[in-house]
Amino acid sequence: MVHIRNINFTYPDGNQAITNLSLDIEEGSTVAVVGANGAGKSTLLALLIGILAAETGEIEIAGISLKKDTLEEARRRVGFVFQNPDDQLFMARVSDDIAFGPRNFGFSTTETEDMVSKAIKTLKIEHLKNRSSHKLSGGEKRNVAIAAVLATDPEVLLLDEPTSYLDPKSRRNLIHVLETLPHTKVIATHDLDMVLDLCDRVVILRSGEVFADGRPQQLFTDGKLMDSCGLEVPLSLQNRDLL
Amino acid sequence: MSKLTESLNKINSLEELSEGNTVIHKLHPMAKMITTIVYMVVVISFDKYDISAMIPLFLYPILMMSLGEIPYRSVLSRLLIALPFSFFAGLSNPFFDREIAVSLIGLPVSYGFLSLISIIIKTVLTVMAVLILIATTPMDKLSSQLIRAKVPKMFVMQIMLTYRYLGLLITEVRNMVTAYHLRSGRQKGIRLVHAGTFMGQLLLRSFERAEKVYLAMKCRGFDGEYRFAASKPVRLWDYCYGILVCCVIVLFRFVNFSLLIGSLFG
Repeated sequence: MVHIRNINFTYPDGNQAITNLSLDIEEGSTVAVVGANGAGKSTLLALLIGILAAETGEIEIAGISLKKDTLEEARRRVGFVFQNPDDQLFMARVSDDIAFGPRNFGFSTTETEDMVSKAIKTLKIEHLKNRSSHKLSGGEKRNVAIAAVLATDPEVLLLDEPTSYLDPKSRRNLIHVLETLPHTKVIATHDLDMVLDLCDRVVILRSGEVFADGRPQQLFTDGKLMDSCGLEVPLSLQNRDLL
Repeated sequence: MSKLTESLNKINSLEELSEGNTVIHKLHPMAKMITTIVYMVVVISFDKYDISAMIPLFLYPILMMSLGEIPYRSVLSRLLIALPFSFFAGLSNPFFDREIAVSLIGLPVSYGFLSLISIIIKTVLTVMAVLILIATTPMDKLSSQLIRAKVPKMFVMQIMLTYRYLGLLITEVRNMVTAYHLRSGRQKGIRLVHAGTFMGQLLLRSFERAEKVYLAMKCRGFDGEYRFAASKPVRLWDYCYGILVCCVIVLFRFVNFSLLIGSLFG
């Protein structure tokens, strides 16, 4: 579903964020991309949706080779949930925001209404449909942002820090929602406990390169490996003396 | 509550008012837009000394606010922002046009003073009409009707995106001002030496924020053209409302009802 071959990306200030990175992600899998700050997680997601363009290498996502002239089609098939939902929610009303994508992709009024209703039902946010976007709580905004992306019926979901801004209960609800989604999911996150609950594979980045790739349980218990990537063993796997 | 938070709430409250369910809210946006334009043209067309003829036109905003359940305070407080501009625009008139027009309770009133009052009344009426239109019609519906009325798309997009972005910008300013005040002791306002850096930071943040919002829109298929929800068809009632209100407004233009009523009692 996602094939990345030898991509490189350097920011204008000279910071090489991605170095010769290759990765294959199977259809229907949920893959976490973790790493310390500046490891290249968000850059990788931005490259996958074509917000940034790789200097070298190839990206194929949802059956489309990512190029300038295929970006529109790729964005039809790939949904990107931004780290800050405030960047994403732009319309005054929740229902209008969710309908924004389907309308742009040329769906008819009836189709758009159906897609909006389906996305709202999936996220269980019927009560928010007619609310003003700016008056929602952090958790509600996050759910609406995901619904807005789901409404475009993507094949691949890219999520940048989906549990940031969320209280523990909202975080737990979000994990349950993501569990139920059949899409191929790529999640950039610092929330390693969520990765343990949700993902069947984790890719650890260090300085823009794939440092480790495997099952979360297996990699997260390797203290030495975690430490060398600037990460910590997740709380749920630590033996802690609380008293 | 800071003034910025207050401004933000004001913008949002007008937006929320437009989601109402009154008889005025239910009218087709095109009908409301046309009547507002006709009303404004009629108001502006009055002679600069013809104050008495304009008085009956106050009925329109009063009725619209009552039927649309718009709090008077929310419209009047916004109106205050526009008033100083018109006041200063007409302030020189009493000095240059000193000829006495009428004597009011023994006090001479010059033509210049009448024209100043006329400018203020015209401002009050036109600004109120626009505020009422915005408070009873969501911005996206209004924009879609502007495009339908053949206003250039680029122009409508600018209005709509500016209106949307205003809230985000004020939020950004509010956060920066709060962060500044928390570290500036008892000092009020932003010191002049910091103002340049503050504005520079705001500009950079504003660019960054605008870029993120734009990218999020691009990721959801935005290609530079805003696609509005299909508007509801214009009903018979909308036609009736438009024609009736426009006729009454035009009638007020040609018949001075103030004088007519005055002559009845005189």
